[in-house]
Amino acid sequence: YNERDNLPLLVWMIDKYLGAANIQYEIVIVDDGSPDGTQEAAKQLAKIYSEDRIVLRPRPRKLGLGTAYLHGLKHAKGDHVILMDADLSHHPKFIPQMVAKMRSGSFDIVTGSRYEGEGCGVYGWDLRRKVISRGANFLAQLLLRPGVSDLTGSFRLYKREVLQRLVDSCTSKGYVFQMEMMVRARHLGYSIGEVPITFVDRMFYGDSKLGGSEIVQYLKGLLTLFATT
Amino acid sequence: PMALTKLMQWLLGGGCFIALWLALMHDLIPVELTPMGRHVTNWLPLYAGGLFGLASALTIVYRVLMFNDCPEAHSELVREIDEAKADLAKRGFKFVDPKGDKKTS
Repeated sequence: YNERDNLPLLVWMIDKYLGAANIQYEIVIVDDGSPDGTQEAAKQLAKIYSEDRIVLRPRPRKLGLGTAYLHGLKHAKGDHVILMDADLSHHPKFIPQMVAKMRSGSFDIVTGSRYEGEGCGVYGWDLRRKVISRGANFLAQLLLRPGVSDLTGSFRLYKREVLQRLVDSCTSKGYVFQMEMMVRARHLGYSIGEVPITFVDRMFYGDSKLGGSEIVQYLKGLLTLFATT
Repeated sequence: PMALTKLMQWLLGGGCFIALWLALMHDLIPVELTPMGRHVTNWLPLYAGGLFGLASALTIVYRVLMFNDCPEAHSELVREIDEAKADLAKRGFKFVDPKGDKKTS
């Protein structure tokens, strides 16, 4: 939503790194009626990179992340799916690494981890953000014992049928949705591999993304997962 | 068979701990306790809780301090953004100037 400026850069980078690694790709763009011209940018990209590879499937208004995944999945032709943030905090250079990891370990899912592994890291987080992040992660690890070091991350590679099954069975919103996917995946017996990633926070210009209400939402979601899985 | 939820696992574990502690408190377990041992047993839940809280706090502090900052990732991204803009413009992409006017280069 409202990614007019980042979308072309993201597509360029995906094309650069996946092209170099000889990975066939298709980008499904689900734009929820962004007023800033995102759709226009997407159309230009489809002309430049070919309409086979840039697939536009817009929606009339902001309808939420979970349904956006479902919508995109309906129109995706590939048998593996990458979900990632569109604001360039997730770097496409890690995608070939995830693909390699999935192949070498025969995993059903490969998730990027900001917390563990050689070369992982975050840029742009102040002390408060780091403390909240580590505290939240500690609590989640303690309560859920998920077997995955970065539970709230959203840069992941899935086998198509695995993702379909997970999105159909998960019901939470926001951060908790990402956590629920991992927890349910483990319950359903899927194998999860990890690849260290660097996360360049693009929202740190004054956006208080982690205010009191976000924290409360997170705790509510965490406790719900704790009590129901 | 249905697996236990995490909550149920904790309740089960907690229940066992409490049962054991109560047994110790009421001398149901034939064990010789030194005065120190007696004291610890009496206050076991408090000591266990305190120890756990301390260990958790230290773990979190450690992890915050060892948090990997990656400024190189940021500078690399900035460079690539410039590269991407130049290349896209060459291929005919029209960027929108954030101030509102269309710009081509």
